[in-house]
Amino acid sequence: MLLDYIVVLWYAIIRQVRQKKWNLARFSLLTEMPIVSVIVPGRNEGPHLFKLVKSLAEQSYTNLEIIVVDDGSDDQTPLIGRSLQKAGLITTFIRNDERGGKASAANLALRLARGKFIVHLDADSSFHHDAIENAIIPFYMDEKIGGVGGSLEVRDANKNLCTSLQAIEYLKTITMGRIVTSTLGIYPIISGAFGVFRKDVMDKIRGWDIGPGLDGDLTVKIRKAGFKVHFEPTSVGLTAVPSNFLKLSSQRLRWSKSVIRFRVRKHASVFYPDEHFSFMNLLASTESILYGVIFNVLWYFNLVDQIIHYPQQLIFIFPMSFLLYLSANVFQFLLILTLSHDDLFKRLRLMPYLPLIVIYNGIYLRVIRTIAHISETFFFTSYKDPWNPAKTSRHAQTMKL
Amino acid sequence: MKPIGNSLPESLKIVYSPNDFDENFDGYLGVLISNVAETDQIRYIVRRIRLNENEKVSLLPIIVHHDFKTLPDSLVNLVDLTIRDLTSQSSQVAELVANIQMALQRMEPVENVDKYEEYIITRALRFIYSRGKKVLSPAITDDGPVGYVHSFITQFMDREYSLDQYNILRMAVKEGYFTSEFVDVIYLCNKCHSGALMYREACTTCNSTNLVQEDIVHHFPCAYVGPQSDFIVAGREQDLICPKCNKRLKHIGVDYDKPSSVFICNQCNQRAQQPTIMVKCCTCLAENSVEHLIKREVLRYHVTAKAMHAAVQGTTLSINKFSDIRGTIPRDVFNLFIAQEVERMKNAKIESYLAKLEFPNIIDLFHKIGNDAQMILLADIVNLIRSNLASSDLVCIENSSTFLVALLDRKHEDAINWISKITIEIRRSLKDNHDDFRAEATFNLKKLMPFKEANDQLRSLVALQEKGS
Repeated sequence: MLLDYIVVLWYAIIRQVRQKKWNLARFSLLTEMPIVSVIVPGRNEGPHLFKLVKSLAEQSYTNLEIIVVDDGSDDQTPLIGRSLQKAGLITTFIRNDERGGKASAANLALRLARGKFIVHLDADSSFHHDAIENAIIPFYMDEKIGGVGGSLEVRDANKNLCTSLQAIEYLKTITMGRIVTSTLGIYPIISGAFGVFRKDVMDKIRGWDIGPGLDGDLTVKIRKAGFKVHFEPTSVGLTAVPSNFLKLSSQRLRWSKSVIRFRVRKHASVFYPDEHFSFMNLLASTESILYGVIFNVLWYFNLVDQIIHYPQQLIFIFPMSFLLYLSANVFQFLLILTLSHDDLFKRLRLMPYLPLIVIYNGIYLRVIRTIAHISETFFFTSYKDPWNPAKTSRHAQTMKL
Repeated sequence: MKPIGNSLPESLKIVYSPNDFDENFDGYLGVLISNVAETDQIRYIVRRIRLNENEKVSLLPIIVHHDFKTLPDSLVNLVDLTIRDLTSQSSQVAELVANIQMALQRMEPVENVDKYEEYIITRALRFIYSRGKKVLSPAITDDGPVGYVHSFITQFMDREYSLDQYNILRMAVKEGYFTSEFVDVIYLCNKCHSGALMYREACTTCNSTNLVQEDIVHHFPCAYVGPQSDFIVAGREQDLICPKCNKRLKHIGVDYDKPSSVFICNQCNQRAQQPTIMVKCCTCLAENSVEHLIKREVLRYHVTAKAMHAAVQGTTLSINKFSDIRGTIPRDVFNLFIAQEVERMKNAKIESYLAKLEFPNIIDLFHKIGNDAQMILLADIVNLIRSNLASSDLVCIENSSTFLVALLDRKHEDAINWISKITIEIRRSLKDNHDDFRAEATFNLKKLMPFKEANDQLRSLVALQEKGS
């Protein structure tokens, strides 16, 4: 945690320095004005499309083509998509009658895209007016960057307890956590809800593989291909999050399984000292596995150890741990507020939930993670997840993808 | 074909070719067109007969004797019988001729008809009655520009104006001479009203018709999706090879499928699943989008008792083409009101005027903009006229280019001022709305005389030549 604070401080300092480089990159971008392909793969996303295209129409970067791929929706999505295409609000709308999974829809959009950069979005997201411009500028600052992740915040943060807790979590892990990992060069995952990629890099790595968890998988593939990934905190999108704990649990089980499936199994080669070896890739995967899996397991050992050896002290250990975590959370939250003054009042309204975030992170998400890791490690349950059609998951499992 | 033998009724005029065709039909009860090889030649002869101004000629029975091919419906509708063997069918011919002649004898001579629409409908009805028919059916044709023709109506029209058949028949239905029954729908060029249209798939972006359609292939194991051509490798064209994982696709539904297809524009590379349908007019070469085509219902018309009675009596079938235009009254009502005004003037010291506004070359504009737009334009002109009139004044559309106005209880100076002003306003309005059109305008003003027949006064006004422009 101390390292986090040091890195954030470092980031705050170099942000001032890199402003000049940023301005030059922005000038280059606006001089070239390349086509940027915004791809929106999804199923039953029709009701979100109009809001999304309206949000894109307000973007400061205007040379966009919007490609929506409907992955076998069984609602009004085809009708809405075709109407928006006819109205000129969507460049290309493709309807696949047979559902093929998110990766296939994204790959089709990628195949049809003509832009120099690919922006991958979730249809239920919306974006600050300069989000796409700010996400492309880093490509003009460092030609080794292959992908840029935008910052995601929760749209309905104050809807209920569930969304408020996620809003704080997103600020901690995305706004702050990814500044840290990106500054250290070990940024592990470009979120599928808002990621920008170089088209030539995407063509080189042949797009997305079968999910779930395909965004983390893609990030590793970009890294393994020798490109950097970058997190851009000034490029902000708002996303919808699950509004009850049942849906949230299902989502987090899916996300947590992907650490085992992709980091541990599919991309185990990053740990091998072969010709493709990269220390930063090793570090990035180690960080994900260490914090996501190993420390999680150690926590249980620690808990059992305390219960067995220090039962009398538990009455002090738990409140002390709680206060310690709470203090850290409050400090971290205040640091986030100093990093960006956007929506300050809205963010301050989340402060009363900070004590609960200790339970949310420390107990709830930990239990979810544990269940996910066990079920994926021993039962390969991600291949049975209905999020992806069985016809493709079957092949992914056979081929150990 | 068997030669024409002695069984031929002598009362039939025989025509062997368009060259020996003359218009002397005295004493003949019918016409036999025999051994004319070309359909177009038969059509020429039939039209010469049916379009003859003398109804005794135009309604003569026509029998076509041939065995070379089937005549098109549009021509069959104008003749009374087609036969292959005159000898064996002579009694049929004789019976037909007798029936038609009997019907013709029952019909009273027709009154003079001035109006184009009334003339056509009156002649069509008398033809139908004389043949004992009650239905006017459309025939499909590749000859006319609109696909379907009501032959007896369209024969009076130049080819490019055959869309008028629908307008005339619509008016006749409105007047109660026909009831109609749906047959089909046709789509016509928005510019020239031709039905000879070519439908093509076009790019949604650049409207180019240079498109190719490709299946989209999804390879399950690696999630690659792309047009089928991506899976074709030179030298192994019989196989589908995944460009992402280089595996051969084996079994549709097992390791790959084709979830959709896409049109790719060779001109601008735009991709779309639902291309735009563009329609090229074969006549004027204009490009139309489907939604801008003119849609017309093709109907079958059943003659009413009212029309049949009028056809027998030779009464003119009045058709008010402009009855839909608000602010106008039909000519017969206009006549009646003028007659009443003349009576009123006998007892009151008032002045009233009849005005005629005429725009001779506006017909050219109507031909250019089509019938629907013509009605809108006429309504606009009437609105302009009415906006400068008292509510008690009367407006009647004499024909597409002539308006009659009754200025009641008005001083001479006011009437002159009004007609000058309104003429200028209409010309200006036409100029503002139709860039390349300059309307010619004339007007006449006539004071109503209390001791002269209203109808005579109206007739002399209509007959008056231009006063000013």
